[in-house]
Amino acid sequence: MINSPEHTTPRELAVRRIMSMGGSRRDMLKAAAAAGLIPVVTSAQAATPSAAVQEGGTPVRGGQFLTLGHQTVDTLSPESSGATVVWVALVQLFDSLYVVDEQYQLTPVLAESHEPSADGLTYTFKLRTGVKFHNGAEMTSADVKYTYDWIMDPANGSTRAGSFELVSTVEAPDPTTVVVTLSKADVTFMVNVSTVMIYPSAYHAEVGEDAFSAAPIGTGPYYLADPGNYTPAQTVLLTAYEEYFRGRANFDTFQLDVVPEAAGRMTALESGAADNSIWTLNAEDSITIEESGDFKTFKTLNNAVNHFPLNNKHPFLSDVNVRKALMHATDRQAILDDVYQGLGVLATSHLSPNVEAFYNPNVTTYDYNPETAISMLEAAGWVEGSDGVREKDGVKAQFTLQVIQGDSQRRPIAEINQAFYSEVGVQMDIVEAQVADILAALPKGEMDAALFNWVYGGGNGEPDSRDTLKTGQPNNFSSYSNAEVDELLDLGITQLNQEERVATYNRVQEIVADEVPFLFFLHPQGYSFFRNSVSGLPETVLSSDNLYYKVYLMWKTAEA
Amino acid sequence: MLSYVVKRLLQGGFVLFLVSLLTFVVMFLMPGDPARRMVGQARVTDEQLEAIRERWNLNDSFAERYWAWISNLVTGDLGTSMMRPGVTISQMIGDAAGMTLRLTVLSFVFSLCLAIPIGMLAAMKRYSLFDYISMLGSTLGIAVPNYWIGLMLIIVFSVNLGWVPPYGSASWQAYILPVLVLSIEEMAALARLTRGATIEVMNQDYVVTARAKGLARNVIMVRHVVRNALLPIITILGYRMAFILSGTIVIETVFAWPGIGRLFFDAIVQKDLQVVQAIVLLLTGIIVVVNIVTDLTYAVIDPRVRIR
Repeated sequence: MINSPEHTTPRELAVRRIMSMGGSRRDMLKAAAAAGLIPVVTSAQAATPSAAVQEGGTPVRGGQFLTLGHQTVDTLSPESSGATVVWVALVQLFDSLYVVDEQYQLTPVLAESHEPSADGLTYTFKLRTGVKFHNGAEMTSADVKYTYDWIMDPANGSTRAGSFELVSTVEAPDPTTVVVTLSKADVTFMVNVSTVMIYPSAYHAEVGEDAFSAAPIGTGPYYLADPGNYTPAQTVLLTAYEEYFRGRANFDTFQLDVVPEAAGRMTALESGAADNSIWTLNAEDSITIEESGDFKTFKTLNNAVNHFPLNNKHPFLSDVNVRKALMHATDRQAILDDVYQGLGVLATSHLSPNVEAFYNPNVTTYDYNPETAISMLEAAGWVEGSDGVREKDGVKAQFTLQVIQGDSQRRPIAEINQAFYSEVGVQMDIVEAQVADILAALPKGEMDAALFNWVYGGGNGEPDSRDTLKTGQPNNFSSYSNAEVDELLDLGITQLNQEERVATYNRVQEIVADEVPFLFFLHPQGYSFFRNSVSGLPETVLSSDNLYYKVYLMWKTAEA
Repeated sequence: MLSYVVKRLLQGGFVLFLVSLLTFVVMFLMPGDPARRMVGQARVTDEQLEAIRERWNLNDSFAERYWAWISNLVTGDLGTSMMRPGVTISQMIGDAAGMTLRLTVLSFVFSLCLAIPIGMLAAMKRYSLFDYISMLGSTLGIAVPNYWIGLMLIIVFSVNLGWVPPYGSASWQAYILPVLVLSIEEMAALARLTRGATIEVMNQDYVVTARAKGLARNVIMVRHVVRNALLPIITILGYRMAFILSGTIVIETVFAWPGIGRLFFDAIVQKDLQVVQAIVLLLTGIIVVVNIVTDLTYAVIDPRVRIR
């Protein structure tokens, strides 16, 4: 079996220590740097199981778990676009064959085990028996086959079709076996499996996807007891399913209230109305809540990198020395301190330290040094013109940065950098555009640069970044093209050996750090709060989102 | 009278048509691909995106889509929404409009009941302490943004005192703060207007004559002043109604109130043409009807106004 769930590397422990540290940001950065020096070792050594319950005490049944989301829960079907708030409700209602848990460990749920063939083309899943849907129907391989086939059928226009791009057939030879054949070996397939929740075939086929989205039936720990308990813009109230195959959930009910305003979520937490907020608060409110001592606080680094994608075909930006010089010209620590209140870490390439198994800190680094930047530009032939802006062969050292319209939080980053770049003789103009426009125009090379955060691999601990770094891919915002990177990314998804995979993605990070296809600034830190009375939480997490898989194991004790 | 109403209704229908066409054009030209939005950050091939577009008829031309929409509308079918396919759009809007209407009507009635007596009293006792205080209050009520008042009230009454829930609409207590906040601005504007209108009427010759005749002060107020002062107020009420509707969008966000404003916002963000269209039509319809009703009420209150 690959991706064995039980292993903890020394560096993983170090990163977790950092994340649980209450110390200052500087301490955290120092510790992060120290952790980075420890080489990556991912031996499959035995360690403590990654089950959520690490906290003492006997679980108590009863009560309610009340959490808050910022978005309308428009649908209760797994066909949802993947908005986190909706997803949190979905994982209470549905299960998938496997999940990637809050420690980024692949854990079996509806499946007992899986066996990839030697060539990596065939995956054989053994399913659990005795799993029941909320309508009492038994879950079998037919349901899995139905779900996978439904997603792959173009007629259904499924939003999840991308997950199964490489799947050629799904077979169910007997009720507890599912065999999936891929057209090409792809080890990220298991991550896709972990995101696809299983439909009850008979019911879904009968009512159809649209009706299903308002009256869902799954195998999950909670179910929708009454259609009236679901009002999309207001509340999702779910009831514990007595026959849940992993044991009835401790909380009698799970409630998700929609509170769009960050200030509203803040007051709901402060007033004691809510146990948790799915969506983050304003930075200063997060600090207040943490300091109140009423909440268990999980701090995790985002997988997304805050960056300027740069058009690598732009006459000025296509020069690698220019991009490197811009990195040196950017005081990223100042951005982190002033815009993010120090909550985050500086990026070393496209991958976040949070993807600890694959993160490579041993790459070219860029300290803030305007002199270095200037000499690099001079050496590359970019000399100062009469107006103070450099030029070379008639090309001006100038580009335009697109900022998302109304993005008041990140706009200061653009303005600070405008000043930094002007110091080294580079003119950056700032304009605003709609986010949809930016995302559509960048990969086509129709814009010079932009400012936003994006995940370049790392979701669910999976480092694959074909989508963003491979030549010509739809989310390759920098029009980046490097033959070696393309090869490595294709190789990485075929490697069954973890150490070889790590080496592959370490190399990708080296190249990205070296070539700077985009200006990578930092990975912001996210906060997640659980009221102190909520028990059954792990000490630390790598993904606070994936902790919602474990709500059924949590319980409430009397508040001290 | 009847022909007037029919004429106004026809005009209203034309306005609705123009507004619907305009919204459709704006939404159609708005950048962003709804199919891409549905997929989120997930990996997807061009063929798969195409399948999604096909499923939701996003590839149809402007004319085809507008025609499909308008012909459905005639049969009373507002269609199915991309963002919430589990329910019909009529039901979606019905639910949300119900929530907004409750808020609007309650605060409208509440503010009317307080603002008109306050305004009249302030006019009658001009330059008194009551007049100064009430007008200072009304200036503040207009000047201070209502989302700020909302947040402050939440902090005091739900975080500190714990008297009311901080958000939602689950209990009657939850109505108190949003209704109050929505009423404050309304009340402030109305009280000011009532005071001004009353003062103006009180200076009219017929009031002076009535007073000279020795008519009781109360009788003068009820028979001559109030009735005449109400005229401009009623004209304004129609506009205020529209204003309150737009005001709820902010308040709905602050108090997490699942009303029409929230639905509207969600639909625009998700580029759900059908829903945006239906809401615009509803809001325009309300304004058109309110305006007609205002004109008719005018005729009832002021016999000099004859509608032909």
